Amino acid sequence: MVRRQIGGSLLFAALMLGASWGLKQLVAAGVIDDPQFPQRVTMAIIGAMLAFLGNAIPKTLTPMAATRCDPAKMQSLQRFAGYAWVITGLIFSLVWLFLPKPAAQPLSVMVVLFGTLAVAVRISGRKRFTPAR
Amino acid sequence: MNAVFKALSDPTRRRVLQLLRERPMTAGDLADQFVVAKSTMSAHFSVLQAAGLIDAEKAGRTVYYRLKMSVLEDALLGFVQTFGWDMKPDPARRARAGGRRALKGEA
Repeated sequence: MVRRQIGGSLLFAALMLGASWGLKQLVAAGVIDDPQFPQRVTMAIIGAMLAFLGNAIPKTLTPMAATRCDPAKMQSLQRFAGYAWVITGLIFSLVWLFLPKPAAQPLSVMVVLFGTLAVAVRISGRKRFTPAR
Repeated sequence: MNAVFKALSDPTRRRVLQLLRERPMTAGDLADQFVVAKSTMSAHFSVLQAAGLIDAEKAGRTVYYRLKMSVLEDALLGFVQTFGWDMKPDPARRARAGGRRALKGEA
């Protein structure tokens, strides 16, 4: 399991670095006209990574005996966080792929801040967990 | 992924997942919601576990089941619930078709 996680992380890192380096070489060689294209693709990959990590959040389970809160509320929170990060990651990717860079930069930061804030608000609303059995 | 599709193709298993969306439940509590034999329910739980959609945890003599679905699998369940998708033929429809065939045979 851990080996698979490390493998996935290394694959993503290699994909990001490789795509960035490879596309820069293509721009330098004059194959790609748009000099912003490598940055756009790299940012889109980062967005995909956010969505990928968000997708896995509800599958990451803590043993019920070890949780200090109501398992139903914990599950609901994990599902919410998963959906929030998947949507955030997808919007982040789309913004970088289709909007001009001056608009994409602030908008993508706002999208991530909004996603983080939504999850934080949900967590703070769950402070009064009922104690576990 | 094939195991996930197989698990979601059955209405009973989909209902189990829907119940588990609300809270983790014991095997007994889940079985009480259905009018099928406990052994049948146990087989359904096995299919869901094999697909990695639910997780079983023992607490003393009680087995708790809880949801272990990724966002993608959860969205797929919602899609299947909304648009309906049964790989198994509907028994009522099969019975009606059998009746029609029988009538044709008589005529």
